[in-house]
Amino acid sequence: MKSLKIILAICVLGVMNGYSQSHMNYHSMIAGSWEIAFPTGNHDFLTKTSLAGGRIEYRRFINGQFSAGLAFSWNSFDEYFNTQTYKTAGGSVVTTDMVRQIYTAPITAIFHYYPQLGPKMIKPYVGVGLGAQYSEQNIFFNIYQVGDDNWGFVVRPEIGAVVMFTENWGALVTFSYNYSTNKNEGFGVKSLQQFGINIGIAGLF
Amino acid sequence: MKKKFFIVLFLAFLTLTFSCRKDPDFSQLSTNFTVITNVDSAANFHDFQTYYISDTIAWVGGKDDDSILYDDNTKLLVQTVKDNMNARGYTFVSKDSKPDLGFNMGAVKTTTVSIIYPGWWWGYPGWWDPWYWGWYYPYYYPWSVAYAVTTGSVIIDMVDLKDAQPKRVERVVWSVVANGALGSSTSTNVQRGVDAINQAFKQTPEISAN
Repeated sequence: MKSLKIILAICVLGVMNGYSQSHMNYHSMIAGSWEIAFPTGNHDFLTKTSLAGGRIEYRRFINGQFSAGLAFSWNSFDEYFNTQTYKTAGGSVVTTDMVRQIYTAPITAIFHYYPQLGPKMIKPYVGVGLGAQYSEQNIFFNIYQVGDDNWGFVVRPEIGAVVMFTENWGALVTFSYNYSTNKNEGFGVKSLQQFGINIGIAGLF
Repeated sequence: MKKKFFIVLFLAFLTLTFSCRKDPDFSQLSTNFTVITNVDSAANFHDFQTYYISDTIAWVGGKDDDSILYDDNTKLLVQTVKDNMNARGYTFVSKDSKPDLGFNMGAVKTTTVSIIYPGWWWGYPGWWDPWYWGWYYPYYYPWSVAYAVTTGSVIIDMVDLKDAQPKRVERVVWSVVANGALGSSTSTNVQRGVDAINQAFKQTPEISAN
């Protein structure tokens, strides 16, 4: 039993050493992930969590601790509201039920820092994304639709890690916060904000 | 390297498949009319006591289909207005009795026809792909598909006749527009109109003679 434990320890150390050595040879990373988003912010347009989101990103390692790249993500939020009576800014009174929808698609330049913490098979990082976000805000009632689309500036700080399970492939988990300047005055939306969790797969080459 | 590229592409496609833009679930939306009302904030409805409404409705059904309705369905809609006004303390009088308020009421029916050329999967995942049959190219549809959506509106104007002056514009003190899709059942459509009229009065508590 003791010899088995020694053998197992050697194997684990060997794998870790292998990851350490191979990390220095990586020049880029590409990842695809499923994104769960929780709307936050100063509007009550909708509050329902989105499970319909995703992200694709490419990172180019600059050295052993930094990377720069591009990311594209998207989320669809929608929420049903029972029949209610609303008063518009123009003084009209409207009674209807409705489905409210927000679609966001940020395109960002991303920058990450990789501190040398923990075993090399786990690669934590912190970073930020800066770029533009396309968004649509729609209201659907009966068979009608009222909506608008707009562009805004987006900033996205994030923290996460890649857990390697082979030399080149690993699981990716990221926690982020999106803040964008997209607004819709008619719907009372001054900015769009969301907290996100990404779960996916990363390939390092 | 080529193998890795295709693996990455496949993973990206999986990600897209599971999280592509999602259409909302519209099945939850009610078929009741959307009711919109506007009221003249300067009007004092306590100053009015009597009203008149015709037992006919103006009908706008499209090209060469404009007329006046006076059937049982029309009577039901008119009676709904009367019931609400009476409940709020107003008295129905004849047109010749110089009522304080007058009603204009109409119904509009619009049919919108659209034509689409469908793609081979009509937007439904799981549809038979052409490769199932051994073909290499998507299906070709040598036809287009037309569909029609019929919508209806109930429009009501309440006019101040008490303060009306000859040769001067009559003031509309309350208006209702109720819109929605129409089904194939006339009785259902009429009931939607009745419900819309009741809702219009419900969301305008200012209308009261007392």
